[in-house]
Amino acid sequence: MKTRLFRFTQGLVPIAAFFAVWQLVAGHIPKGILPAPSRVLAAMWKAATVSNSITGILWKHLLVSLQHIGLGLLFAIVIGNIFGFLLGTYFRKAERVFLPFFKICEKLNPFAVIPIFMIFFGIGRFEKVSIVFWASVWPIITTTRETARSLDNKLIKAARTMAADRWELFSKVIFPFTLPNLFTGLKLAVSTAFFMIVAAELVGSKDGLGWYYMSQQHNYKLDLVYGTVLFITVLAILFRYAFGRLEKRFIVWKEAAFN
Amino acid sequence: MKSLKKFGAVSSGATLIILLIILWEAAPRLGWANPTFIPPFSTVLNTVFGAGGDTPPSIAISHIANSLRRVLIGFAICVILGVPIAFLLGGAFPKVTPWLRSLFQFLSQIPPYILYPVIILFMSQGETGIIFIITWTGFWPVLFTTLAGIADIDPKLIKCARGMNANRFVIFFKVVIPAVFPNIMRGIRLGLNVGFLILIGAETMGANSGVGWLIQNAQRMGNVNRIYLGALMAAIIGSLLNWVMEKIESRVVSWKPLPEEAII
Repeated sequence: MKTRLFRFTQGLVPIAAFFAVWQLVAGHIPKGILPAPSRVLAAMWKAATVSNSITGILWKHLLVSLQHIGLGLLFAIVIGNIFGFLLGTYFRKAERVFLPFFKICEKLNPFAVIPIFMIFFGIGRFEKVSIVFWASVWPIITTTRETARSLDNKLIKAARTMAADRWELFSKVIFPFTLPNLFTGLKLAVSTAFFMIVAAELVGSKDGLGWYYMSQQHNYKLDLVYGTVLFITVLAILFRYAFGRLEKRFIVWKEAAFN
Repeated sequence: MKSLKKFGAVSSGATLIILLIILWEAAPRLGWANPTFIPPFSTVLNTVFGAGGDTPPSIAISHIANSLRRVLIGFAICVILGVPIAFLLGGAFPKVTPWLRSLFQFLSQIPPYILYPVIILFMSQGETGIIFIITWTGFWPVLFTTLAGIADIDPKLIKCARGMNANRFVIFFKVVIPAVFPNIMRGIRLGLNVGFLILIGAETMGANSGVGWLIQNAQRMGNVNRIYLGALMAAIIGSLLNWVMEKIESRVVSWKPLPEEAII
């Protein structure tokens, strides 16, 4: 049994080494390509704390981006799960009709969809949210549908013999069974949402982290360009971690069964 | 009988798509939607196949070929790098792997789309940058799924092979590789998918050809037909790539049904 401290160092050492190498390399590279991480972190710290400087607007943009991501993910979770469950459980016939179309939509590149969404919804908040929604709904539909389908028939038969009605069948058998994998889809969706949010905000926006990133790039503030990349990465990791914790909280039985 | 069933499945799947295309064609013509913003399906196709269309087939094909070339080169590099590195880490140096895990996870979580401008700083804008970002993006799923596969090998299998006096090479080729193969194939398919995803993104940011460029250019010029054309192309290429990979996968890995879950 490894202690938590050991695991923590094990996680920390390679990342620290990565930054150390970066710091060393940055000193030997022509200026204007790779700023040292110390400068990047200092610039980000300043951007995050000094509120009246031009760069101090970071938090405002973060909030805007989080709104886009949150709303998009929320819609994706609700609609994706509804579709996934319906197609995976009660409407197997409909699945045959819908599946090829869904597969094509899933493979339809979100980057290719951005201009079309702009035409449909105009430029603005709704368009950004719908891009996040579009990108993150497919992994959720797929995982939910697949897991609901793989449900052991014996479980359903057993529940039926105990006179479970449709709602009980869903809430007491199908849903708990799929829950662990719902989180797989959810984590995937979170990654995709962060992947797409900047892309969505780069074009035709006036706020959000994507805009922030672009404006730093236009001003050639390299420290902040690298800083924003790091910032968004850390955010994505934090979100994934949070969902991982949530998963552990919800799904006690799976852990217990396998240890 | 079986083929009849298959035909039924395919046709019922195609029904919805055909209905939607008919709706797409009919809606602007019947005045349900503004034809400036949603041009009918035939108009979009006419830009390629019609006489005097602004994207004649030769040009369309050259863009598709450019995109395909980039994604396939990047994908080939990421397979050539990813699979051996995974075997080195998982098989040869299993002690090192936990020390690298956090760094890999950190690197894999960097959204590649915003990494691309940074990469352009190092490599000038052009083919190298695009291929590099495709390789970078596809590398992680290949690495992670292969590593997971190596970690999941049943130790009993290896013990059993040892008990039959197998040496290391035999164990590697006859036990380890067949056991990991489904995971390798899945990782490769995922890698190709994300590689294609980022390809379009990278092409919209800095390229002078390719499907992504076509879309970006059309958007700049306000050429609505071409935007739809580009999206159609992207959808078709993406589905085809995935379809081919799934076919190869189901042919090569016939003994194991694959779960659809993905690791990014």
